Amino acid sequence: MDSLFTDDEKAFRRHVRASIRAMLPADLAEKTRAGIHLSREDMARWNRILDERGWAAHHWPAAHGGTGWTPIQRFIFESECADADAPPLSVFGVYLVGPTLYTFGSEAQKARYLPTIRSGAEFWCQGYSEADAGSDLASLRTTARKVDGGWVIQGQKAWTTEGHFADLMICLARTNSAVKPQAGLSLFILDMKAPGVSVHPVITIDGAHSVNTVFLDEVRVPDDALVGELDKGWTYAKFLLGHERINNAQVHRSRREFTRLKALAARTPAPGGGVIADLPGIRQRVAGLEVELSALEATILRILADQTQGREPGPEASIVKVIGSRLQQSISDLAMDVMGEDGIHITEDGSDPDAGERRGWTERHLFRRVVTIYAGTNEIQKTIIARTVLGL
Amino acid sequence: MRRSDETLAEDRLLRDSARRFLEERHPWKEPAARRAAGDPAATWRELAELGWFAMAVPEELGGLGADAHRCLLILQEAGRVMLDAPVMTTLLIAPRLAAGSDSPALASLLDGAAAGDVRFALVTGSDRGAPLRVAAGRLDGTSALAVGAAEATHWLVVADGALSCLDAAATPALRQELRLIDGRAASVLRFDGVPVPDEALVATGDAAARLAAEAADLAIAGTVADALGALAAGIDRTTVYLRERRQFGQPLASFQAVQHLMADSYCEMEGLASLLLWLGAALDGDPVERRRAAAAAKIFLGRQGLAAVSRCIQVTGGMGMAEEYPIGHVFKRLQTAAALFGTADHHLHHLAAG
Ligand SMILES: Cc1cc2nc3c(=O)[nH]c(=O)nc-3n(C[C@H](O)[C@H](O)[C@H](O)COP(=O)(O)OP(=O)(O)OC[C@H]3O[C@@H](n4cnc5c(N)ncnc54)[C@H](O)[C@@H]3O)c2cc1C
Repeated sequence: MDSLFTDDEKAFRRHVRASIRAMLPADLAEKTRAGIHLSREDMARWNRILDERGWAAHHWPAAHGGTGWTPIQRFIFESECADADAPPLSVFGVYLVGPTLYTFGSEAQKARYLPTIRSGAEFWCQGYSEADAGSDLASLRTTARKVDGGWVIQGQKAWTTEGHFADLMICLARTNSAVKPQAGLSLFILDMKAPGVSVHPVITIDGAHSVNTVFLDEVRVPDDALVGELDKGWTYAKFLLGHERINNAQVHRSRREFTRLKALAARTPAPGGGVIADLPGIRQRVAGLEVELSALEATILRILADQTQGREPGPEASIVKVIGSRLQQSISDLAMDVMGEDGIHITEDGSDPDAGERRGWTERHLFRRVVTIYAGTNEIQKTIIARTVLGL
Repeated sequence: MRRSDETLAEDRLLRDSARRFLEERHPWKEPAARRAAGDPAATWRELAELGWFAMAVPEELGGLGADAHRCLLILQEAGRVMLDAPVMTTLLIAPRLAAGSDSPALASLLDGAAAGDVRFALVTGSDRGAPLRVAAGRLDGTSALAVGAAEATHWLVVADGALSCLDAAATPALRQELRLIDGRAASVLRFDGVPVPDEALVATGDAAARLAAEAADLAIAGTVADALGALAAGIDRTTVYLRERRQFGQPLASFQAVQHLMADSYCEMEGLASLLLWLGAALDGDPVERRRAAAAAKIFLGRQGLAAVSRCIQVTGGMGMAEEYPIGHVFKRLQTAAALFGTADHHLHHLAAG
């Protein structure tokens, strides 16, 4: 896709590529290749390395410790990180909470929280969904009750990713039940170590623990835990979800994984001789996915070009979420077909150099059922596209 | 020959009684809970008492002489509860291969199998490793994933040159024990010049090649039947969930987007059921048609079957991602089935080549 980048941008790409390769420890790259759920330590280590270079919060405005890069430069940086197999940063702090706080938070909140998000010293989780409030998020029942000097939060959050190692939660709670559901919500910052917070693991179908149920039992937070204005939580949450959806397209990881899958196919023996990559059916599917990936990349570049002119992510976020999530699943579908029988068992066979790579694909394939569900299901996204874009 | 599962009252009775039994005695449980609670030997005896391992045995060999269709109905029921017991080879494959062979090697074990004392596992060659080969009375090569080989008393080994039935305890094979993503156990077996006694030979030469082709198609039929059962149960369970769960003040079932996803899944499940019905009839017929029907069913499973179950997860939402909820296990059961005995790509490749 070189023709969509200027010479300056290409030079920028060479510059960040060399820097990332120099900064990234080999063992972190290795772990990123092997697994989908990285440990806090691994994510934090890379976060710190990037922060020392001033690149951890690369997409934030320079005034808040970001790089001041253009959206296209950020796109290039992220694609280079993925290509180098750099660990993904925990999405909640740097992608979701950071922008919410520097946009809507108080000066005190910015001073307190932005530095530790940038450095990776503190991890965040997102406490929005509840057992009975998923797609219908506005119906959530966790409440925040005003008391002297603060708030008392009571309720239960579901599917809280990284809740078991997060320090802080950005928590959506009901502060007013007299108005329509969306209008009575507020956003709070909650200390995960506060009395009354208990975290229970939920194992997902890939056999891993990345999500939790979080019980909030009379958890006291101070007055300045409220983000922005009272009862404006829905607006802030929607803002945050827009950022989440662009990020959820995961275009750079998809590109990188696709490259690795092609390499795996090129060294996996085919039944009856030759390699899987040379089977005509596989070649066609690879070419077809290449086209879809290009469509996604070009779409994101278009959105970013618009953002350069100051537009916030709107309904386009829904488009890339839908395309990107489906593509992630198509890529792992292909991986399963490439691996055949070797993709349906978990083996610890250390003598097989590809065992780890295959295991990673199998786990990804199972966990990837979620990408069309979380960050707003694809059905909900399509309704948004139909209503807000097409006016149906 | 039947063109519908509903044609014969006897079929329906058999299916319904199997379903009642399995739902009562072996309802679906999370694999870890199942492994902790289950007693595989006791389960196997129970299934033998039901007559499962005598049903496909021809009457002249002392069995019930059920046709393939009826055996596949039972395997679908086993799939519905995602039964761990690897029954396919003993129930469907061994009796039919015995009927097609002149040697007593396999036939002499069928009484023991019917009684629950003999348990067979099918051992086929791997696409990728050294092929299985019997030459000068010795077996060499590496197997594909052999489901249930660790629990079996006898291995039905499909190799170039011979089909043999080996006493598992007496066969020196290098075993790699694996856990499949659907929770079942499988082994990869490596044979290095293992002696194959004459008494173990089920067939050699052309007869062995003929039975090997039949074994491959039977294995696909059994695997698809199991997967179809799991998918049907998954769709049933999902529709119940959709009626119960509410969002935006109404049941999920009331959203047209959800309805359409489930309707697609249903169409695909029915297509798979139809192909299995054809395959069931073709198993009793001409080998060329049988091969085409087996390939068709396997391809459809690997494409439409997997799409159907993925949508069930999609409409279940986050709950569909939870290990403690069954639908993810249906997905894993189908994903496993899709990879065993040749992927959809593999079979498409051969179909396209003519
Ligand atoms: C692994 C994982 C990680 C997650 N991480 C987090 C997290 O960190 N923080 C957090 O707050 N949440 C998180 N979530 C929750 C996630 O955002 C929700 O699962 C998601 O919003 C869907 O809600 P639900 O699961 O309740 O499904 P439901 O809302 O019950 O939806 C079920 C199905 O019904 C469809 N549906 C619902 N309403 C409609 C409608 N009006 N029209 C058409 N179709 C409809 C949906 O599209 C879906 O297919 C996570 C979930 C998972 C599984």
